[in-house]
Amino acid sequence: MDLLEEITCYVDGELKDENNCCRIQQLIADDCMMRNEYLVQKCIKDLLGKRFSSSQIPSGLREKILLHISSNSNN
Amino acid sequence: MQEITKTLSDKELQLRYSEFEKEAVPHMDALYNFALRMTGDEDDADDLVQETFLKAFRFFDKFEKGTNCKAWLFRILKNSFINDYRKTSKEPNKVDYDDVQNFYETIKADEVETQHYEEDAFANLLDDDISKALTELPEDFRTVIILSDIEGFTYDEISEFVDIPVGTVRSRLHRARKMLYVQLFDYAKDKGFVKKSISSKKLNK
Repeated sequence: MDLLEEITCYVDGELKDENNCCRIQQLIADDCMMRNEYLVQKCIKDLLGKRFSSSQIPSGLREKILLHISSNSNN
Repeated sequence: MQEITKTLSDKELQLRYSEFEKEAVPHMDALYNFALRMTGDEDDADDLVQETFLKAFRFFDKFEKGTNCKAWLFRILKNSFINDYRKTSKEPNKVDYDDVQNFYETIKADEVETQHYEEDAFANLLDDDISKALTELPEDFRTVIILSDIEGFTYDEISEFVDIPVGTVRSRLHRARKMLYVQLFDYAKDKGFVKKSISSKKLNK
């Protein structure tokens, strides 16, 4: 696996092996470019999660879809 | 929808609706969110979600009980997006990953310490700016980053939904975030939230 992609895995909690996690943490602490990669990945992940994770379907659309389906199932 | 009413009895239809309401309807918000971020347009998202749920109900007998209904719905939506929406919509300008690499290679290590400033700058961007940048990502990359960072799916789940290896999920996600970062950096710079002279647009020339 590409080292930079390992940082992505680390940010996403997908790096299961504890030794690998420690190795990546050390790299981030010691190497500016690795830290930059980490910050970019984390910055975008956090930003999208904060801004867009809670959109709800408009109530009118929900009702319209359910009405369409239920009216057919009641025919 | 008329085909169902012709082939199923009233009782069978009511049973199907009852199961559909329990299994599929709770995922409507997540599906709408995904549609909105894929299309970048509320009207298109409305149409896409409506079409997805009507299709899902029509073919609900094909859904294997006990499996992941949310994943099944996402696949229907994604296929509808590919087959119907994408054919009729105008593709926005797309980010080129080579340009992104160019941007990164030019950033000096000593600029890393200013990173916190850029995060603050992104915090000042409007949702519309971020949404626009997201729709400018190539579709394969946009799909993966939405499923991961907005919908919170694991690599294994995304791999199953999109039908690509986990390694490809990881690679696309890594690149997608970098592409989005560069786009947002330019937006933030244009709006005066970033004072650094570096710009991906300028670097490409």
